Amino acid sequence: MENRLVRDIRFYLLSQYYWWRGFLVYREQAAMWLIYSLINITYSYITVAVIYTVSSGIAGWSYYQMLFLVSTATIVMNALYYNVNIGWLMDLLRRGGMDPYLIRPYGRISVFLSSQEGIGSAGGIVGAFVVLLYAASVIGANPVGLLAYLVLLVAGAITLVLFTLMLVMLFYHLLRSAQFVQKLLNFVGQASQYPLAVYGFVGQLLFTLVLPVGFASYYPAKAFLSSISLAGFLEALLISFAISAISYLAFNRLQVYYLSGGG
Amino acid sequence: MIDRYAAVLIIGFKQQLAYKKDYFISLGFRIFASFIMIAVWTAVYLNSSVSSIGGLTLPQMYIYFFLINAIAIASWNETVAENIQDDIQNGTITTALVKPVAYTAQVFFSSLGNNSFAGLAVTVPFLILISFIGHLVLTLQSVAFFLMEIVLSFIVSTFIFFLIGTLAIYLTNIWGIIAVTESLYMLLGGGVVPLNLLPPWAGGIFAALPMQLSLYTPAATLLGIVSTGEIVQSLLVGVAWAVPLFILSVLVWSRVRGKITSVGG
Amino acid sequence: MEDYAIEVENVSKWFKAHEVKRSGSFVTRLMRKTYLKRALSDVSFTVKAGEIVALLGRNGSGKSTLIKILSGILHADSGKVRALGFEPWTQRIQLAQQLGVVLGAHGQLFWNLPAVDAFEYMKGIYGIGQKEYDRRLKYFLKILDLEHVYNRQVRTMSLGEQMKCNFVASVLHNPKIVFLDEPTIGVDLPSKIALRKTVGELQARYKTTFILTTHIVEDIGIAQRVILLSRGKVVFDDTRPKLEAMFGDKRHVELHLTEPAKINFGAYGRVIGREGTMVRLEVSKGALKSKKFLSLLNRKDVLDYRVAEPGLNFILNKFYAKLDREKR
Repeated sequence: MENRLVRDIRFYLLSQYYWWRGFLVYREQAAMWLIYSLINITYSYITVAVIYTVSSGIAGWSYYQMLFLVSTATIVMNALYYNVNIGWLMDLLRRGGMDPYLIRPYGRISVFLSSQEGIGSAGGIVGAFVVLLYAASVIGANPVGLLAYLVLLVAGAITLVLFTLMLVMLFYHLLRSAQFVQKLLNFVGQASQYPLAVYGFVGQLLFTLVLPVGFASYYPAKAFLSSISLAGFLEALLISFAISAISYLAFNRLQVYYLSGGG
Repeated sequence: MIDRYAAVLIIGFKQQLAYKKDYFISLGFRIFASFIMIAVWTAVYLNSSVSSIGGLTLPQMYIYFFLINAIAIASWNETVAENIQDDIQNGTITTALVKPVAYTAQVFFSSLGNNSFAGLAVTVPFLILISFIGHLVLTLQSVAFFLMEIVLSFIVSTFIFFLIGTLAIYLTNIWGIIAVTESLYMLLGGGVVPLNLLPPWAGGIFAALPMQLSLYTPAATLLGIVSTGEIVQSLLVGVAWAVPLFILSVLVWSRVRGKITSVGG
Repeated sequence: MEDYAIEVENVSKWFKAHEVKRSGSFVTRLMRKTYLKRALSDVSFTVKAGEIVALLGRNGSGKSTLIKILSGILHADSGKVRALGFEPWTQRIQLAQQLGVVLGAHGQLFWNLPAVDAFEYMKGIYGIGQKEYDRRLKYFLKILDLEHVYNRQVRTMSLGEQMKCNFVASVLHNPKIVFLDEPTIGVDLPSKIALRKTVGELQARYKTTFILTTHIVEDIGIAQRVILLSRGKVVFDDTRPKLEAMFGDKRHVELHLTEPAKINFGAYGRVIGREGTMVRLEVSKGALKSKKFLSLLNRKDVLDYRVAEPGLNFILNKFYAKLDREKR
């Protein structure tokens, strides 16, 4: 079992290596994605900047804390899009393009992740990371907060990836359209840039238990800003693990409905 | 000749009917998205304890974001770019090229069909609904300006998304670029922050861009928070963009066309 | 039990299909009708290790669906399938290690990179040792005449070259079973011949089992056995000579005349072709030696004649025609 996980990770990394080579060979495309990243980043920060210019902002959050949260959310969403290019993946499923990947001797998660790329999103990760460092340098960091931040961030991002793969498979089966999943995740990504408290109780449930984005951006940011208890940390980790497991099982169950371009 | 364009227009309308589920998905998420901004701005107003920010009270701010999302559905159409990408990459462009209607015209008129459907099926009922809540200034003049803004915005945005679609000939996939352009439209058009909240230097830049015609100006027109002078100015900006974008589209298309035919479809 | 590479027992597969109504009111035109389409029904057969089997059928006969079920891409709705003892869709990973699939339409290659990158990728994926990799790659490059090609970007290759590279990428790991789905579609003649030769050699050397689906009759030449699918059912499963023998009592006679004929050929056999002064007749083997027919050949206005056995293409067409008649 452990062997299989190692194998799948090696396969994933090997595939990434070749995707990057293909990407860099195509220079026009690489240049285009650079522009994409710059725009993508600007988008996330303008709202916050304007809100904090015209008003005293959101209760309990300073300007730099908001910058930190927005950066975290941007990194997570771009990490998701790096791994799961929703439109591309749906195209593969719809046209039977997944066939040559499914005949590879690896698990379905790594097969799906290796069948397409969202390398353009890497620029967004780097850009948001720069702002994140800037915000963190103003706020100041403590080692415990940083460690908790990294653990929750990685766990949350993995949860979000598995959840999205499951959604793509589900909506491939139901609607044959990437649009719903794409729009849902854009919505979720936008929501994840603000403190969960803003959305009230129902919103908080929605963005944690139903759409598990809170575990990937809000809780990690809170952990870094030292306003999360140990119990809160473990709770977030546990729920995010549970959602991962459910998503993984559902994803595997939904494979029955792959039609390979037929039907 | 007119018949042919009408046929393309009707197909655009019908395709919208066939893909109705995509439609309601778009609509649904636009409404959800306005709830995010409403939640955020509510928190901001509560924290600031002021009754108006940038001349907008909190209820006006709510109406603003609902309006924005109702308008967005009719004022631009990103599927123009998606369809061109599909056509180029699936080779269906060759079938489109042999039709007796210029490809550019096919794109434009099917998009027109698409958005007229959207306007009638979504935007109009939505506006009627909002008008019952109040806060709207509905005069003959404001409605006329509103319509002119939407039409002009549609024309300009179709050229922009057309140009983006042609990128598909150089790139293996332009999903991301389409998504970013949509985000840009949202941002520069005032879908995230009402444009009058911007600092003057930024407001000047945004006012020179055509995107505000797609969201902010029409919404502000109906809310009665812009002067007639400002409306006329943004309409002129729109026209000033439409002309060079049209010329650019024609030029780019002739190059892309050459590239498609030389590759052999 | 052990020597079967593939066992298929009563396999069925349905697909959902939709139909948009074109008539009725505005509202009913928005509705879709869903119905089930049967892609495979009660298909059963076995394939021994080292066999080359041609899977034939017209478009929509279910042959691609069958290949996809056998390689674990699709799930069967009912019935039992074993490939090398594995159930393909539940034991996909174990099976994939010993499986090579050449899907006509979808390449294993990276579009922007040279083919050699895809070969090295396959080496990594299937864990092929360096020595083994070098040896096999050298062998394939030589036999398929790819030595000057494999370093070029895939997008600059011809279709035949892409197909051959695709084939190499799919069999580098020495799979026990290889599925070839339309392997020679759009491929030029020399490449076709090279591909067929390679298949033959791999079977002889490694006892590799091949199942190929094809529309192209010449491809069937390398197969020892033919399975014919029609509307998702196996309608023929036997050796190639047997298939040929099914209509083997017929002979084709080509007559070359001095002038466009006034003769009533219908009295001698079925007219199957007419081009200027040439007439082609289908005649039963026995009738060929009858006095009546010999008198036709002896006529003065018949300059020359040729007798031939009908080709496989012709046989298949007849077979399909027969199936269509039976259906009605």
